[in-house]
Amino acid sequence: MLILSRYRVKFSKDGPARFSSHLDMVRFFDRSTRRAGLPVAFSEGFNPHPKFSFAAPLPVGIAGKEEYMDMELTANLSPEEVANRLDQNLPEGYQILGVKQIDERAKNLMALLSRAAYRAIAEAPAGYDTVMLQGALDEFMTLENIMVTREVKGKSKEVNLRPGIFKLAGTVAGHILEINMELLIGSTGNVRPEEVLKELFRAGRIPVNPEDFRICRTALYTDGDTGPISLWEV
Amino acid sequence: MNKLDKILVRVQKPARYVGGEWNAVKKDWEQTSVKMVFAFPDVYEVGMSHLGLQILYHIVNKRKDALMERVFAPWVDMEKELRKEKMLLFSLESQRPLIDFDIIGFTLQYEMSFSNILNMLDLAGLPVRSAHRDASMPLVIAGGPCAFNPEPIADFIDLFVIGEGEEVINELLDAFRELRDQGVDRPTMLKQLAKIPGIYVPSLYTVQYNEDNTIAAVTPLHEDVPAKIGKRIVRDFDQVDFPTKPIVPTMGVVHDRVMVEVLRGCTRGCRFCQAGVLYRPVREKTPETLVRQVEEMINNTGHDEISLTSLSTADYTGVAPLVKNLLDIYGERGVNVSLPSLRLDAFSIDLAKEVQKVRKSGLTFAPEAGTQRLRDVINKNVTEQNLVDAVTSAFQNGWSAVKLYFMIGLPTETYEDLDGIANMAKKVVQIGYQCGVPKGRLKVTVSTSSFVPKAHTAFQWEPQNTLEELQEKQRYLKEKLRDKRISYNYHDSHTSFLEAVFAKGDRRLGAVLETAWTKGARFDGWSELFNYELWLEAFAQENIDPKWYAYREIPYEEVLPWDHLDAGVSKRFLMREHKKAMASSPTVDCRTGKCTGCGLCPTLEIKPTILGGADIEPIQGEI
Ligand code: SF4
Repeated sequence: MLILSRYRVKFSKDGPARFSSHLDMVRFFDRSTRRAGLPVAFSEGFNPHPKFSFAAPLPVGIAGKEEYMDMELTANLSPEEVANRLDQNLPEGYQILGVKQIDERAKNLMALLSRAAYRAIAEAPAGYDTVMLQGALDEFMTLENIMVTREVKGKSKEVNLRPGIFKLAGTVAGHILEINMELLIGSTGNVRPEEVLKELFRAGRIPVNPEDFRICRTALYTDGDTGPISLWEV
Repeated sequence: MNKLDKILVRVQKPARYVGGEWNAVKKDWEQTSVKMVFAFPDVYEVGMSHLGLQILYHIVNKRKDALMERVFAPWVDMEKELRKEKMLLFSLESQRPLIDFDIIGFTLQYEMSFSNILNMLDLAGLPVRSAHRDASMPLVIAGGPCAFNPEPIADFIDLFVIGEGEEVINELLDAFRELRDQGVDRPTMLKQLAKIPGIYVPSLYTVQYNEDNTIAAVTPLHEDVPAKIGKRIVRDFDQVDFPTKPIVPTMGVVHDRVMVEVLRGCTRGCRFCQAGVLYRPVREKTPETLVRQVEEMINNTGHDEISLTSLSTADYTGVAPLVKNLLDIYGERGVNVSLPSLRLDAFSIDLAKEVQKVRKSGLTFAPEAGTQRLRDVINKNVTEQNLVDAVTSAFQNGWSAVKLYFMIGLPTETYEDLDGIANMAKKVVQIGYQCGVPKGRLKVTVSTSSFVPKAHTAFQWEPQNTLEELQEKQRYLKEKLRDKRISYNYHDSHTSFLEAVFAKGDRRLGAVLETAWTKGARFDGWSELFNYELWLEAFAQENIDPKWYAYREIPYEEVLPWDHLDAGVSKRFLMREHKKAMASSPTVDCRTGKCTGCGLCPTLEIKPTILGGADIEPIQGEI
């Protein structure tokens, strides 16, 4: 019988890798695992592909501090070995933060995922401070509806962002303006950080162009009994 | 946030501009004496599929005293951003502006990328004309197939490398380093570099014209500059440096696989084919070398496909055992083998059968012409029976789609030859039925490109069909091929026309090119960006008639713009081949053991290397 071992890999994606699409990244992992000589399990069928599954695609341009993938191997290697071999074979911008073996029947990442944390950083306008920023964010959070228009398959759709915004906090330290957000992600819906920044800008709540922010996804969570828990802790 | 980061989130496919790929080389800038950047005048996806880039990148970066980085043509959205933000074009590895490099080396793969070269120089902040650049600016060099007639871009490039670059690049870098360290000015440097065999410095030659616009003479300006520049050729192709640690692209590219060059050159001698002349003589690598290189490449890249490349891989002496061997080794590891170019015979089908990956995409055959008469004219030595056998074998082996590739507008072509194309296509459909291919699945695709006369071929004196003639022929075929099971597609004739103008052009076209670029010509090889009207305006403005270049039948005695560049094959041989073409008389392949006297081997003092194949004695002396 074929042994299959399932591993959860925690990694970061930054630097030039930030500009790789999700598809490009899947291809990277395919090549990296082959260079690393890891015995990856392949799907059946005419066009077999490696058995990788990812939590949620990172939009192009956004860095990921704690991203996740599951992979299946046809041999039982220690998580340390998988981590080592993989880390040495990843292109610039990727880093392996941890690998652990998980149950073969464990819920998949996409199904677990419910919340993502983002950090957006930009240059603060002169004279702008934390009190002003936090005030604007708090006021924004008191709104009941935050309606935006989304293009879905060529059709415009009105969506209310508000229920998907769980946390919003900001600071201004020197000339750096930082906004931290926790937003809905996963199978029940999705709020994109750019959407939030755009809304904040549009209504004149914060005076920074959404394009001027550098965004990174800092954590991914699942719903636990007592609140969100990191995907790594599941 | 820096400017680049800001720009990158606004453009399509930002991965094109960030580098950071596996196996990319980042050297210590301060510690490296000579800095060169390889400039590919098309987008990342196209450039990264080019083997020549990987070869030179490896050779230069192997040197302690030199480094090579890469730059590709920015797509129009990126260009707009660069100009708006006033950023200079930069290299991928160290993201330095191109002006910081000592040498910018362009590759000339295709005439339709010439406007991108001017654009890249401009984006780099450099004057586009070499006369306006001095020793404080990078030396701009170029090589590749189009360097065999570089006259249309001679005004913009400091020097051209004629022929294979693997060896001459080292000589060039050595000489450059020495001269630069001496602090010589640009003209002195160019005069010295022109002494290296295979280096052509266009500014050291003057072109005189006759009253009727033809060329009277191309003459060197100084005594010690050679009147004729010969091409460079790698003698020991088996042992020459090959990049077994190629850069693995970050994003999907045109050829996303490991490329192993199994042989160089092709002796079949199709009379329209320029590559066949430029890469002569044939040189095959030994199977041991190939197996070793493949192993290293797979381990170093993690790719899941090996492509055995060359102009005609099925010609490789030991191709069947080689393919079998590679499949044995790599099949289990989930690595595919692919053959990009297949010959029209049952043997090739057998090979294709082994290599299951080809099956998905359908098989392509290139009879090139629709009748035996015309195939004899172009010296494409395949018969209708070959095609019948090949497609029969393909259909019997499970393929249900085949592509047939033809050229229209070939010299002496008549409508009978076009009928021949239609008949062949219909015959293939019939064979498909007879072989039991299900009705819904059977598909025959006919593609036609238009004949473009190229320098250094037997057809260099031939006129191209006019636009109207080509379009009429395309219409005719479209009508003839009206059939559910056949789909017909053809190349844009305007592009082919401009290709012919530049392929056979002279130095006077430099002005047209510059004008067209100023008016906005970019990515002319991309149909969505190609603007024919703009080119016509540029020709009109410079008072140059493009038709004169493309449609004129040239007499043998006339001086050709590329006569001072020697591809090794003698002009007399080409004339002989041209006459034989007009008489529909084929010429055999020297691979069979009989030298046909093309003159190349004696000129370059070399012999074809065909493993275990016929030992060819090249005809010596006057031919
Ligand atoms: S000189 Fe003779 S042997 Fe050499 S490439 Fe030409 S035809 Fe072949």
